[in-house]
Amino acid sequence: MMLDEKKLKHISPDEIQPNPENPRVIFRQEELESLMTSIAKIGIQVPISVYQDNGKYYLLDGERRWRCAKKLNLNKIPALIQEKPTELENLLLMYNIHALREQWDYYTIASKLQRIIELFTKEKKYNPNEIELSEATGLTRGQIRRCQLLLNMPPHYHDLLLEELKLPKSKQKLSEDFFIEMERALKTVINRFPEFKPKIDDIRTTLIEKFREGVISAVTDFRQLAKMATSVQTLGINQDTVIGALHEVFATDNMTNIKDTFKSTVEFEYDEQKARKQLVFLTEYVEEVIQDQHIEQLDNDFMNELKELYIHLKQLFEANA
Amino acid sequence: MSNVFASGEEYQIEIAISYFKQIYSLSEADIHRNEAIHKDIPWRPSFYFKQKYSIMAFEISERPFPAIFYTAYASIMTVHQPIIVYSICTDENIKANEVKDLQRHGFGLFTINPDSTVSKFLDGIPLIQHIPEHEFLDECNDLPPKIKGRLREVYEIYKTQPQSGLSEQTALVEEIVNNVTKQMVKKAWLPETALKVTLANKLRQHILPCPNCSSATSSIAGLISFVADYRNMIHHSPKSQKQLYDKIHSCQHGFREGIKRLKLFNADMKQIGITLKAT
Repeated sequence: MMLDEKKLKHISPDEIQPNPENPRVIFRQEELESLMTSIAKIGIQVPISVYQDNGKYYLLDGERRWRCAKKLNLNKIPALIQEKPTELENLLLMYNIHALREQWDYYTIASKLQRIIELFTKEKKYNPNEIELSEATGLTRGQIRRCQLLLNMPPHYHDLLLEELKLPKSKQKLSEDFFIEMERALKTVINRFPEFKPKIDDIRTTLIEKFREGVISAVTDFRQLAKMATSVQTLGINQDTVIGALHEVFATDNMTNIKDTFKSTVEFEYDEQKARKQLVFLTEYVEEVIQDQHIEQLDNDFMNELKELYIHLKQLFEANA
Repeated sequence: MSNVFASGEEYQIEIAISYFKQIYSLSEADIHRNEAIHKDIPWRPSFYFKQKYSIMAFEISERPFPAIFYTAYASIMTVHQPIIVYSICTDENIKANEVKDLQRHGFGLFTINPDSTVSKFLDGIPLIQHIPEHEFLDECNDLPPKIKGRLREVYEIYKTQPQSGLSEQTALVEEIVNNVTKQMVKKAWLPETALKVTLANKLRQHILPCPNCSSATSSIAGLISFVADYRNMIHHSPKSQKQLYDKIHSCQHGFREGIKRLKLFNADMKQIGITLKAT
């Protein structure tokens, strides 16, 4: 497509404002530096896109080029002047231009997704579902679900996360992954045990504190919290035992962590369940081999493993007799 | 408006600025954030402020040597302003090779420590005073090893304190000329009284008119002029901003000039059987 000559201008980077709808607040130095080195050598080859509003230019596409131009103290940069988009168009443009190309972090995506939902609802008179949101923004349904988890947190946790993301990487303790994993686990806990719902904010605060102090050592530990909550249904663990264990984890006055509580409460049963599934598979396989008369085809290693299993099974039955 | 270029930049800027405000008694109005220092320098530092004798410019970076320094270096060297450039990074991101690179270019480094305090890790100097190491080594070629060694010590001082470095260099010249005078007295080319006069007079009243030195007059005259220009430069305070810039710029010129004059003097003295010596 030919560029419209009338719309291509050379503008001072100082006349340009960042797009108010671009939710991306964190830029990595490495990615900016490689672009900057290229611009320092050969200039800006692809014009940035801007729109004009009240005598000011606002970025549509090219925030990294614009930042590099400012850092390099360039006088003018090429810019394509486009029509001012509506708020929804602008937001969707931000997603479609940037999110896919630059791998936005979840906070960035989530921070504007709520507004997209509101504008979409206003325009179409109904709430968009995950599929519609996915089509409009170019995000996967999984990404949208993760964003929803962040969005559903009270606003002060958004601020907490943003403050954390502004810190140098080495000083960041709470990540988006932390909040996503924690929220997913807490959602499961609340669904199974609604009695924790009124205290949810205190629980979040405790878990954040325990994570910061290293009592909870990994974000993936939250998956064990969810497994504890579902163990009443899936494993038939006593409900009071699980509730008691969760209270321990959620209490502020102890150093109880998720990993140890999981181990002492449900880990054995989960391992047993896993072993049973493998045993069922093995039993079915052996039955099939016998039925189909393929015994000679079994190799020695497999037969040796079975013999070992047989010895252990004998010991187990004798001890249980 | 902020132009964030490194992760954690805003956090580090606030810590660093509050540190410099305290150290140099600056107000917010003294701090220029993301502004150009000069139209010909392709770099807007994270912030800079003016001092009596220089401009101190800072770049917040995720590592000690930000790429923008490579881009801006040549332009800063040519702009007629005493600009001291510092990188600021967190303490845990220090990398020895990058620190060495900073030093080689005349840049300095501050670190933000885990307890959010600020420390100076490496002194920076006004870049117009900076002499890159490889250029210094090239310029020292052909000098006797001992003199080269002494110049190296002086260069190490110059790298962080250019005016003291230049002063040390003139002291070295004096030591060399004293030794040359001794050798000439021993050869009975000069009277004993030559040993008791000032450096300038040794050169002007004794060595220059000495008939044995007739083939070395231009290098002796060069050394006289170097001594006259730089011997007491450190003690003279500049009276205007222009004088200040000239003085700062002179440091680099003087240091290079000193080496050049010594080389010519060495070559001429060698011709007449005198060896340049330093302790």
